[in-house]
Amino acid sequence: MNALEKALLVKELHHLLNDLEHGSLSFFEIAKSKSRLIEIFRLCDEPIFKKQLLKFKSQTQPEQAATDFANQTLFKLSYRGFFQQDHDLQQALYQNAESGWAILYRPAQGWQMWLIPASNRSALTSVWGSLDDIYRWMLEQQQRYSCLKTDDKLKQKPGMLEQPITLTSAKPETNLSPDTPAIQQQNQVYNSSLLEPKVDIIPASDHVNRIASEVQQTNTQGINELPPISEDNPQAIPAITNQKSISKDFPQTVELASYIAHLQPLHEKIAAEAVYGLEVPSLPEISQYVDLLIHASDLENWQERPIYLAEQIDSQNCFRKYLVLFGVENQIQTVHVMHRFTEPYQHRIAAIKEISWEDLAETFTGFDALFYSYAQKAALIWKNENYLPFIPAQLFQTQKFIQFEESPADFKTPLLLLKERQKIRVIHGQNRLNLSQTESAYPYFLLERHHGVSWQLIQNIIAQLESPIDCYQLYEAIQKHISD
Amino acid sequence: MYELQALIQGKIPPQAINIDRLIVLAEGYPIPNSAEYKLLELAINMVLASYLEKAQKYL
Repeated sequence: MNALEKALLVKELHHLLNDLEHGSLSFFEIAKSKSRLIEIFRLCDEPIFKKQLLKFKSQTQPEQAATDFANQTLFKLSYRGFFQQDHDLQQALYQNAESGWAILYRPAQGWQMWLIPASNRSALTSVWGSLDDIYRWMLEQQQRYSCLKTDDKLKQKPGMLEQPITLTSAKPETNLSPDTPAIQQQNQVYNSSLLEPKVDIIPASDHVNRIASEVQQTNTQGINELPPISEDNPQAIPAITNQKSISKDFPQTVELASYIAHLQPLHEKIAAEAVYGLEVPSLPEISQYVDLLIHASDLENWQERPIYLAEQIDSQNCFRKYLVLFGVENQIQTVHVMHRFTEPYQHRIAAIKEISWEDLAETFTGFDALFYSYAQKAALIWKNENYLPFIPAQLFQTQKFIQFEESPADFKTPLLLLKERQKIRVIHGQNRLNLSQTESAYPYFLLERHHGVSWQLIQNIIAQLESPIDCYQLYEAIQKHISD
Repeated sequence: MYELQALIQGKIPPQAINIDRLIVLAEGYPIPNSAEYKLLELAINMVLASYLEKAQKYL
C-alpha cells in the first residue's frame, strides 16, 4: 500500500470506529463494520504493523498467534505449547520438570504464561493479559531467576535436550470425528469464541452473519481458574538477583564485525523498552562519537533486522553523537526508542537513516568513515524541520580563503564548504566556528568544484551581494548561478 | 508538515492529526523517494497503527 491508500484507510477506520463507539448501528451493521475491520487488518500486512497484527491474530487465531509469538522469542525450544485447559497445560509443562513455559488462553480473560522457575518447582503464573504483557512478565522472571536457557545455549549443550520435549496442544487431532464427546468437550472453548482459528477461509458473508448472531449472545462461559502461585512466595524461589543486571541466560555480548560488544543496562526509560547499550571494550574511543543500542527481543538475529543510524543534537542544535540502533523491527519502533533514549539527556534526533550492516560494519570504528557512510550509503527515513547534516570538524580546513563580512551566526547557522581535490575548505563560517571551540561536527552546505563552482565564481557572486552576507543567501545565489 | 513532525517527535498524539489534511498531503506528495513522502509515510504509519490498536476492541 502506498501512503495515500493508507491515509484513506485511516479515514475509513476513523468512521468505522466512530460508528461502533456511538452504538447507533443495527446488529447487521455492527457485524458488517467488524467484518470490514478484519479486512483492513489483513490489508495492513506490512512488518511495520507486526505488533498490531499479533494482537489481531491473538483474537482471531489465538493458537497461531501463540506459535508465532513463541517463535520470535529466544526461548522457543523451552516452549511447551498453547492450551485452553489447565490440566492439558500442566501435563505438558511438567513432562519436563527441569524448565519450560507454556501459554494458557481463555477468550474471556486473555493470555496467561506458566513458567517453571527452577528445576522440579511448581510453575509461576502471570496475571491474565495480552501477549505483550505476559512476555514482559516472562522477561522479568527471567531476569530474576534465569529460569530458561536460550535456544542457542540449549543447542550448544545437547545434553540439556536429552529429555524429549513434546509440544502438546489442547487442539484435537483433525482425523478424529468432532462428534466424539471428549472432542466436543475439548472444542467447547473454540466453538464459543468470537472468531475461530479458521477465520482465513470463512467467506465474508458467512463471517458477517456469524458475527451478527454472536453479538446477540452473551458469553456465559465459566471460569475455572487455578489459584496462581505467588511469585513473591519465598518458598517458591530461593534467590532473587538484582533486576537491573542482565540475566546470565541472556546473551551478554554480541559480535560486531570482529569486535565483541557487551550489553549494558541503560536508564529506566529505555530499559522499559528492553533496549540495552553496547560497549566495545577494545574500541573505547568510539563512545565519543556514537552511541550503540540494541533491542533485546531477538539478540541472536539482529543482523536480519534493519539497522538505523541517526544524528543526535542537543537543545542548542549542536551535534552530540551518532546513534546506531540494532534489533528493532521497524521505523515506528525506531522513532519511539530513539526519542526515549535521548529524552533524559535533553538531546533530540535530527534525522534518521537506514543502513545495511555491510556498510556500517566497515565504518563504525571511525568518526570520519561513519560520516561518509551516513552521508553516502544510508537511506533517509526521517528528518527534522530545517534539517541540515553535520560534518566532523577534522574533515575540513577552517582557514577562510576569500575574506568578506559575514552576518552574525548562531548554532543553527551552517557552514558553506567547497570540496576540491579531496580537500574541503570553508567559504562562509568564520562567525559560526567562533561560537565554540568544542564542537565535534557542524551543520553544513557542500559545494563541489567539479560541479562547476570555482573560486572566481564565488568571488564574483560575493561582490554582487550586500554586506554582511548571510550563509543561506550566498548558498542560494551560487546554486541559482549553477542552475542558470 | 509541522503537525507531522510534532507527531513523529512525540509532541502530539496520533489522534490529534487531521485526517483530511493527511489525505491532501498524501495526494500532493506521491513520489516514494522524496523526503516529504518518507516523512508522510512514517507519520501515516504511526496514525494507522494507532487506529489498528483502537480497532482491536471491536473485533
